[in-house]
Amino acid sequence: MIKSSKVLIALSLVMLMILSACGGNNNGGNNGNNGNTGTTETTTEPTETTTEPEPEPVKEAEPVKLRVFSTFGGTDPAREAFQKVLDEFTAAHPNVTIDNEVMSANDDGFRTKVSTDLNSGNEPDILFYFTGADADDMIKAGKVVPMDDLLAADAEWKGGLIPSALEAVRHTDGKIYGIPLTGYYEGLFVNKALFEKYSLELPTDWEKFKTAVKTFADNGVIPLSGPFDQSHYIIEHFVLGAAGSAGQAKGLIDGVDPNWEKGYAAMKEIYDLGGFPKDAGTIDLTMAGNYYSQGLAAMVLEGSWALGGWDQKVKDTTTVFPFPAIPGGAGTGKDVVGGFGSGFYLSKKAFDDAAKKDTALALLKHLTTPASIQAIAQVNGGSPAADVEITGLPQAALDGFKMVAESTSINSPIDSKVHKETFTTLRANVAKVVKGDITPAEALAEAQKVEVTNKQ
Amino acid sequence: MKGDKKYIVLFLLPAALLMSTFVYYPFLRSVYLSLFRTSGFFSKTYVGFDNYTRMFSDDMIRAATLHTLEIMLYVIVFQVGFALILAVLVDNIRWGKGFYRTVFFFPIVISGAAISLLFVLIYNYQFGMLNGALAKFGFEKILWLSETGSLKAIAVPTVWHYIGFYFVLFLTAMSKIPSDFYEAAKLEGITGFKKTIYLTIPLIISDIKVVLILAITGTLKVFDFVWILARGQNGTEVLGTYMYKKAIVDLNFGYGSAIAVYIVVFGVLLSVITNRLLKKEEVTY
Amino acid sequence: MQQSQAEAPLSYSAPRRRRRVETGQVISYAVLTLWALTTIYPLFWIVNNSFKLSTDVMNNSFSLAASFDMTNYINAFDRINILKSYGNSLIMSFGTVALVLIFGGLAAYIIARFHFRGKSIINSILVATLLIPAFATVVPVYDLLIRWKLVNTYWGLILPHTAGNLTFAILVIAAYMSTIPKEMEEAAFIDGCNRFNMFTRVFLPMSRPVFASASIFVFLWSYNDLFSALIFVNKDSVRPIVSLLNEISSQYGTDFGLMASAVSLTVIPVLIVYLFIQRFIEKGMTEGAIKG
Repeated sequence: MIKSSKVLIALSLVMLMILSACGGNNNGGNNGNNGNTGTTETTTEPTETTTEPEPEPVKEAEPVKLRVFSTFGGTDPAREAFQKVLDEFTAAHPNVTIDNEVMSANDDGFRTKVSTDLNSGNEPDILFYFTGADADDMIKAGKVVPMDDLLAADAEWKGGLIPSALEAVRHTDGKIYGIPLTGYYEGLFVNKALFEKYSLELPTDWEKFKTAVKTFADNGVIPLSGPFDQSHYIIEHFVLGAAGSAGQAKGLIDGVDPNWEKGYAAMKEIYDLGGFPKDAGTIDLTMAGNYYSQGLAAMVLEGSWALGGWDQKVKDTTTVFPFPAIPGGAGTGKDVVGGFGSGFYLSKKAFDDAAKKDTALALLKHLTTPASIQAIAQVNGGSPAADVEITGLPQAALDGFKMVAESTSINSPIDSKVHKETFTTLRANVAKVVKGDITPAEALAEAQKVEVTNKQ
Repeated sequence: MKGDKKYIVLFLLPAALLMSTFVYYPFLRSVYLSLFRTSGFFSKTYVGFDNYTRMFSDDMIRAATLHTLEIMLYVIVFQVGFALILAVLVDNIRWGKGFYRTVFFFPIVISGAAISLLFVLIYNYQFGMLNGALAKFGFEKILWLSETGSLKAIAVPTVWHYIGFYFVLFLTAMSKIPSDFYEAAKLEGITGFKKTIYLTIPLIISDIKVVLILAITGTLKVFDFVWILARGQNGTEVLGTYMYKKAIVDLNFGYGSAIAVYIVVFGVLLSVITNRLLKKEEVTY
Repeated sequence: MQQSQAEAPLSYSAPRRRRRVETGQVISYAVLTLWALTTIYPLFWIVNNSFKLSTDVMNNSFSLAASFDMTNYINAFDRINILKSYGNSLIMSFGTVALVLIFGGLAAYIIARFHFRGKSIINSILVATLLIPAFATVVPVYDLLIRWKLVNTYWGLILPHTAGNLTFAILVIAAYMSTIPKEMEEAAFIDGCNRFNMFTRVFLPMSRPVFASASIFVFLWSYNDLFSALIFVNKDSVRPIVSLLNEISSQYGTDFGLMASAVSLTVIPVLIVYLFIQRFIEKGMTEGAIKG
């Protein structure tokens, strides 16, 4: 998937090609394309003028206003890069103004806003949103446009995207809706310096992991930083480590895979060894990340995006592993959580609006050209959905890509497979299980019940 | 008075219209939604009173109610009580009233979310201020947000943050007491503590009632501190956070709405009880 | 104010009592000053930490900033059009305050001074209104705003905020007005005032302190409400300064230094507004005392 071995020359060649492609865009709309967008502006104007009752003198292009709603705001490393990509588009299309609305995805209001917008017919023209179960509702309601035909009609656009990335975002109904931008992976991020300090072996298997946990706990270092409430990554990795790819993919709707229980039991085992921070009960994900980046914790379960927020010093001493397989389970120790968790959607409303359709589509294409994807991936540390080289990445990021390349399976996370409320139940039960208030079996049975109720 | 009816309607109308549109109508829609199982953005199935029956068997609701009541107790005793004391003190000092009135107001100016972050750094186990101080003196670190102590630890900033609010309300109320009342009291030899008990408090009783209602209703909506300091974990889940989790995080708006209805009904009950307990003739001077 | 007048004759006639009063005063000042420290310190803490980098905030948040590192402020200014946002905030929050005071004042007057059927019901409804969580109304309100094309306009925040704050204002103002002496009203009635004139000439001036207090709180709540702002007015041209707080949080972790600078930036205008309104409170208080 990622070619980290490409030499610089090849890279600059690619860059050159991309740059020239951009130049072409700027000059004459989308000349180079196979038809669809190439004819955009020439076809739009005649249709517009014929539909107008009083044909005004044909201007360069009708002013178009597009609303883009995304998560590239706040301290997102890709904020500026994304704005630049939008600016490129408006520079090339002076008739277009873009409302760049952003909201942080970890803000709980984000889903509420998107949901109400869609429900009230106020959907943005282009929406950056999660793929997978999160997108189920809006796809079923026909709020977003399937991309298969559009992709097929534009070979250059489609060719710029890695086929496997497109496959990764294919919805359960067999169609592609959100065009991916950058992928992510999750893994066990490890502070090499701390392992060296206590002359420990890196946690490549469960026994070594446990030894490390014990040693760190005895020496007052937090072994594995992670919160019990926002325990997304803890759940992902312990369940995957125990249930393996196939077991994890089953979700909970058809009953509880006994290997899931082993995953929860393993959490308790690690907790009993003193593996989690003492205040894991009340901290949030941010604080757990702080413990790691401040050198107070030796390991943390995180996503590739975490790298973007760490200092150079932390990056330099970090490497990443797949979470080890839990003995007695079905994991391979090389199962990885990752994929392309979000993408750009084109709303049906914009697509059906003759005045907007072509421009919106052109913008969508522009947002997902190899050059745009590269610009974003360069800053957010994700794996690009186009075949482009990212330069200057820290070793840890390369380790991450290598981990993905060598993995036996890449799995979408559990919370993209089960209902939100089910996942909250899974999270809420982490603390109860590790403290021994309930058994793993009880914890999962409760979550399973919620899942069934919600998916009736 | 003649023609009063016209004024009653006319004066109440703008407020009534605005509130109906942006508060009551939306809330009624929530009440309506509480009869559905909602899941995600669009799907919604009519389930009758299922969400309400679920509530009765939901242990979390019971726990959240008890935690809310515990915070309410602290709020009434310490927040309202201390605000009243401070207001009486400030009302009685000779100079510097303006200064205290200004600085007591500072915490309210800072939003709850920001104050919470301050307390995150005070309570934090690893590098918080309290544990930093303990470590300096050679003591063992303490888990401040423990399973048993979290709620009390969270009550501290909750109470502290809004003392200034009630303080300002009390002070405002005291300002309307005519000075000749106090002069008459002086002649009778009623001063200091006695004056407060027999004169000041009875004269602002209607304002105290309002303050208590505000304190009770406000506590039922406590959110920021619990959410940011402990995320509702370790025995801190309150009704405000639980409703938020269900409606906004889980996108189960049906159940979330049912909890909202419960909060309103429960709060009205509490306010009615409070009003009964404080039933006294309204005074005019 | 009223005390100093009242105490003056006392100190001539009873010198012994004077000493006791003095002790009381000393204790009062001690308690008040102690409390003032707890309220001043956090503000200092936030401003102090706004000049530090996030790591230093985490590890040494209670030490003095070594130097005035402006990184956080430069960063904050870079994220949001500060001046425009201040302007937006002031327009929307003052708009809210004005509407709340006008409509709330009228309604409070009725509730405090009139007897009519259904008054107790209205009172109960008002209390119930205080209990409605904002999270329970946000979706339908947003829906309404979309339909009326008010999203991303000033009214899109002013109207919901006004409605949301009216209850508080009505209750507090009514409690205050209910104790204004009847004679005032009767005198005005004899002077030939109608109800409206009575409101503007008698009740409004006499209730100035409570209007001032209510206005500062309404201003504050409107100004600090991040949740509604993010959903109703999330666009550069209209968004208020409080949105800055959202700009600094993301899945990459909280930058505590940036956070502190953002909070400092949002707090400043409120303090200025408060100091300004405070003059009204004080003025109202002295006038009220004289009239009484």
